[in-house]
Amino acid sequence: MLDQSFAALSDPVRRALIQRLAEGEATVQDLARPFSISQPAISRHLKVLEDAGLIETRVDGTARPRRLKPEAVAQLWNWLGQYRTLWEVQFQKLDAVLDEIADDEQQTSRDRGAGLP
Amino acid sequence: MNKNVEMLQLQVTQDGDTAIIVRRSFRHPPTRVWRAMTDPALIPKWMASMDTMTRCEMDLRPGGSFHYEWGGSPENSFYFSGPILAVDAPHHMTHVEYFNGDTASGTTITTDLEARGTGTRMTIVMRYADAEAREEAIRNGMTDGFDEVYDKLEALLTKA
Repeated sequence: MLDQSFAALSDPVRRALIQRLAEGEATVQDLARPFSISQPAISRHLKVLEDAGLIETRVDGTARPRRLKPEAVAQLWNWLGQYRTLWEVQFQKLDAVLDEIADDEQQTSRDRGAGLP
Repeated sequence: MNKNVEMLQLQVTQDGDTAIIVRRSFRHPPTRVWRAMTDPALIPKWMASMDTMTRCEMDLRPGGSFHYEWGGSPENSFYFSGPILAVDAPHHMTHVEYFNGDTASGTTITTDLEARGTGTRMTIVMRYADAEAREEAIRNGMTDGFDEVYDKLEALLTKA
């Protein structure tokens, strides 16, 4: 499912649709408004997002508003968080290396000051 | 302490369809950050989180190259290598990264270190060959977190 989610989000229009839906549910007409593409094209994008399990359709009389599936988006968010975490783990190690070489540099300059090689 | 945490705050953002921008600050000056990021004796101490680096070479000059390799046996080893395009120590470097020698799709990486007070502001821009390559890199970058996610999921399911 995650593979499908990432594929679904590889398209900038679909990412923009997710962003819009993060503000609350919306109809196809609402969603199409900011874009210079047709409603059928928007509907096709929405279908990709729905097939990926990121959004769902609510039946409200004759209206069919789309909304985010919170659990799917939360999971995706979690995974993007994992990517970020890997960077942070590396940089915290880099912080430690920097502290370590700073001590070395100080030691070296102290040794020089004391007339040692 | 809180101020420091805020100052170092990591930012990972997507730029356009193909790039990832990583920003972070360090409490040390650019010369020292540059040394830690480019000295082959120091790189293995921080780069990558799980496996130990088994080979680390860096010929740091325009027209030079690098080779970073992980994993002990041929079956589980992988490497990143590629040319160094630009070097302006201790502030700027541009290099191209190929995964396992696949020169068909490279990632162009620019690293900038800027002095901020007594510290450094680092900006890394990674531009992938296309949107798919970027998605794949994010996915692969996350495989190390698999177990943790499944554990969390399992805990959640057990509760429910």
